[in-house]
Amino acid sequence: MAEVISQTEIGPDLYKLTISARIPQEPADRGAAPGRFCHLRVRQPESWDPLLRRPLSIYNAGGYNSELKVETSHETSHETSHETAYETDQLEFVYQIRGRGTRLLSQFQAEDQIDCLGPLGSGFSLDFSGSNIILVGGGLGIAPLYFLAQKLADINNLQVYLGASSAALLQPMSADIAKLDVKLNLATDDGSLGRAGTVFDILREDFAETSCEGNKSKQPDYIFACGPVPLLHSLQKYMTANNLPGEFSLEKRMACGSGVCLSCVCQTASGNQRVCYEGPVFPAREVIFNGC
Amino acid sequence: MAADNSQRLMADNPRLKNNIDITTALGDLQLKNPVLTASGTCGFGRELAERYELSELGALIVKGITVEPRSGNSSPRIAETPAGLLNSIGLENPGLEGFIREELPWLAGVKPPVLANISGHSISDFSRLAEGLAGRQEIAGLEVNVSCPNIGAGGLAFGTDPEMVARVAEAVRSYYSGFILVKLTPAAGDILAVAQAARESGAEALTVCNTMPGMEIDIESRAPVLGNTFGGLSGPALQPIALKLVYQLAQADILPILGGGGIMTGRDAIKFLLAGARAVSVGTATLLDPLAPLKIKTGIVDYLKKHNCGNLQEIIGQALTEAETSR
Repeated sequence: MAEVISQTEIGPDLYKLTISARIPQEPADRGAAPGRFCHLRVRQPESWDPLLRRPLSIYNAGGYNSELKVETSHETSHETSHETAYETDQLEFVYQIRGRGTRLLSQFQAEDQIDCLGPLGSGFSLDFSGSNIILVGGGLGIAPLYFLAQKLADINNLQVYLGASSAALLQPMSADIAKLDVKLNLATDDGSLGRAGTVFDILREDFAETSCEGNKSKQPDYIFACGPVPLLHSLQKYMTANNLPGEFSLEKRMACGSGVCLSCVCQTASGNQRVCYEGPVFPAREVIFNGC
Repeated sequence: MAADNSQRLMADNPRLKNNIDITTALGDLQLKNPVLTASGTCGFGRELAERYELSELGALIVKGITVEPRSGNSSPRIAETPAGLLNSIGLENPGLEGFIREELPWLAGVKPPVLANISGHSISDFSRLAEGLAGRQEIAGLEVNVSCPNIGAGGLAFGTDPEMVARVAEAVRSYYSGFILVKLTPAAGDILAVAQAARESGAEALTVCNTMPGMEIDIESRAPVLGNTFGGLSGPALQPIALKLVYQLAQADILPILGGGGIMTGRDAIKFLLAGARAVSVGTATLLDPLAPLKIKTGIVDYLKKHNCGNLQEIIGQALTEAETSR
C-alpha cells in the first residue's frame, strides 16, 4: 500500500500525483529508476470495477531528488512470512484523464491509501558521461523524461525536444525540465508555445541545419524518446538513416504488469516482447512499429 | 463421512485448531493445498517465482502450448468490461519443442506439481502434444483445453460437442498414461454430456471453467476493440456462471472438479469449494495482484478457522443438496 501525498491539477485534465510507496530493497533493481513504471489500482477496495490497474511511468522519485523523501523500514509479509526491508520512496506521476480509470485516479486525495504495484519494467540506460544526448517527448510521453533528464543533465550535454498539442498541456512539464541544465526546444501543434509543428518537425529542422553547416559537434551520441507511435516511427526512420542509436519507451494496453499474461506484447526484431517486463524501454532499432 | 471424523479429531485434539489440514486431491493428483494458478495467468512460473516461493501453491497450470510456436493475436489483446476482462492473447507460446527445450528444465525444479496445458485445432494436434509429453517426469499431468475452434468442423469449439470432446480425450489418453484434466468451456450447451464424454474417454478430473466468449465495441471508432474481434471473458463478471457449472457438475458427481472463474478472494474460493470443487484455480486475480493466490489461500484458512473446521474436506460440497451428497 502507498499513501497519497498530494494530487494537483496542473493543466487541462492533467494531474500530478505524489505518493509515498513502500518498495522492497531486495533485489536492488526493484526501486524507482527513469523509464520504470508503477501499476496503480484505481478502484475502491471491495469493488471490482474498473478491474485492471493503470500503468503510469515515474515522473520523479525521492531517491533522485532532495525535495522528495526516502526512508527505510522492516516488515513481515502476512502472505509469505518473510521479513523484508522496505524503502519508502516518494514517487511522482503526471497523467491525463483519458477514461474512467484515470478519472477515478484523479479523485484520490492526500492521505488516501492507494495500492501501488512496482516500480516495474526496465529503465533507460543511464551509463553516459560527457555525451551529446537528445531526449524527445511527445504529449504524455514527456512524463518519463523529466526523471531521465535529472539523472543525465549534470554530466552530459542534454538537448530536450518536447512537443504537445497545446501550451496548456506542454508548459507544466516543460517548466520542470527547464529548471535543469539542458537546452530546451519546444513545439506545439497550434504554436501556442515554442515553434508551431510537431516535435519531430523541429528536431529534423535543427539537424538538417546542423548537417548543412557541417557542424559535427552537434551530432548526438544517443537519443531517448517516448510518445505517440507516429512520432516514434518517424524518429526511428530518421535514426536508422543517420545511424543514430537510442531507446524508446513504449505504451500498450496492459493487464498484469508483471509479465505473466502477454497482453502488452510488441513486435521487435527479437520476436514478441512484453512492454511490462522486457520493456517499456527498448533499443530503438529493435522495435517493429507496423505490428503495434 | 470423512468430515464427521475430522470434526471428532478436532474435539479430541485441540492442537489441530492451529494446524488446519488443507490438503486435497483431484483424482490421483495429491495437492498440499487447494489453490492452483490458472493457465495463461502465470506464464511458466518464472515471473511469479521472483515474487514468492512457488511451493506456496497447490499446483501450477502453466501457459497453454500448441504443436507449433504461435506469436499470438494482434493488439489490442485485452479489453476491460464491467467487472470483467476480455482477452484474446491467441495462445502465444513457444510450441511443443520450445516448451520441452526451454521450459521443462526449469519446471523440473519447481516444487509443487506442474500441469501442462495443451491446445489444438485438430485431433492430430492433441495426439502429437500428448505423445510429445508422454513420460515426462517434469510434469504431473496434462490439462486439455477443448475451447479452441476445431478447424475441421468449421471453427466450432471442440468443447461444445460431447462427441468431439470424447475424441480429443481418447486421443490424449491413447498417448499419455498420466493424469488428465479436461478444461470445459462455459459455452457448451449440455455441459453434463460434455463432462460425461470426457470421463468415459479417460479424463480423471475437470477444470470448470474456461473463459466465456464475448466482445467489446468502441462507440467512437465504431469498431470492435479487440484485434481479434472476439475474446474470452474472465474475472468477477464470469463468477456466477462458473459457480453454477461447478455446482451442476458436482451434483451429477461425474469427476473431481477444479473450480474457477472470477475467484478474487478467499471468500470467492469458499463458494466454489462449497459447490463441490475439490480445488480452485486463480486466474484473473493474479493479473491484478501477483500475490492473489497466496492471499486466497490465507483467506480459505481464515474461513476454516472462523468456522471451527480442522479440515478443508469438511466444507467441500456443503452447498449441494442432501439428496445429492448422499449418493
